[in-house]
Amino acid sequence: MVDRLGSLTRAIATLRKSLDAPGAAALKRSAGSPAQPQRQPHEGAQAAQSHVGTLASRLVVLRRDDPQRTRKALRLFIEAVLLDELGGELILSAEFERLVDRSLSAIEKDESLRDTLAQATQELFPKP
Amino acid sequence: MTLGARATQTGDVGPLWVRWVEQRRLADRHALVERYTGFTRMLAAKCYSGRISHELEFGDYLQFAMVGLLESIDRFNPDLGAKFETFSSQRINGAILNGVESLSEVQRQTSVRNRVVKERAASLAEKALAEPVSALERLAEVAIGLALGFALEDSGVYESDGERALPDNAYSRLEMHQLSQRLAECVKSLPEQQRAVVHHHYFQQMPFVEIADALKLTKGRVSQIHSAALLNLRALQKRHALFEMTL
Repeated sequence: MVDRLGSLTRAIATLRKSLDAPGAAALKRSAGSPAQPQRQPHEGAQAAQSHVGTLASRLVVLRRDDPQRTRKALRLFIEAVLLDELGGELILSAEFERLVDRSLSAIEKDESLRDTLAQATQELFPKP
Repeated sequence: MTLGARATQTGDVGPLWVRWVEQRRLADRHALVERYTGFTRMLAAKCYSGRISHELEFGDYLQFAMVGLLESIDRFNPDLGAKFETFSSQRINGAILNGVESLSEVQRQTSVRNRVVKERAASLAEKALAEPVSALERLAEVAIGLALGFALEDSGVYESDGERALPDNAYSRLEMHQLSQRLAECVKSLPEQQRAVVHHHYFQQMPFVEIADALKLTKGRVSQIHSAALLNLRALQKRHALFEMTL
């Protein structure tokens, strides 16, 4: 298998870096200039421009008191992953939104993935 | 036939029938429904007690029976001399049987569909959980596998349904249509066994256990072949997409 998760792994690493940056200020900076190419190492430049790599700027707008915050964050993550994997042009399609919902719903129904979902949420909202 | 004769034939409810037939007032129809609800409930209970499938509840049977009652009231002609109970029992029983059949079929299909998606997710989860990667990467891997599968299933819809292939919002569907078609094309390049599993599972909605029977394999082996097929499809899809971009 060629580059099975290579680019995705790099994009997630970039995302994690943005999320781990200290405080909301870092996230807001990220929201203002999502690509931040000058801050990325050479191999991370592409990842920084991916949907996953720039997800931090979308997560930061989710309100802390929103009861659906966790689910919305996971949905945004899956949407970004699928856009990177299947093509960014899909964002124009209403059918694509349905595809994201169906995928998330199937994941939520799988009991063996419950821990993975909880851990993924923690990774998306790391404690300072 | 005189109105009196109608009343005699239909017993103490005769005048109500006369008014309903002559004037078609909703209030009289409601009164007739109330008058025969007990009779209808009895027929529904009889069917329910003799049921062979336990998927539906008594409320479902009663609902179907009430539909039959309404149709009977609308069509009954007292002038023909039959008792309403005799006329309607056939219709009510028929409505129950038709309803049970259609609802059972919908439930059966929904149940098969849920089962197929559930074991698909489990197959992908098993593979992802075995890898020493972060939760986000595991989640991404499963999500991609599931999305590829759903898009693959939709390729059958685009092929077989002419109306859906040419929708009003054609622009917004174009990209998904291309993805589905690309995936369907990629399936042809899979090794034979993987192609067979994908074909049975995604195009014929067969659960893994049935595929295992058909291919003389174990269910676990089918699950492995399934996850391997999706990995291959993922790589093939990317290659096809890149190739299309260069054209």
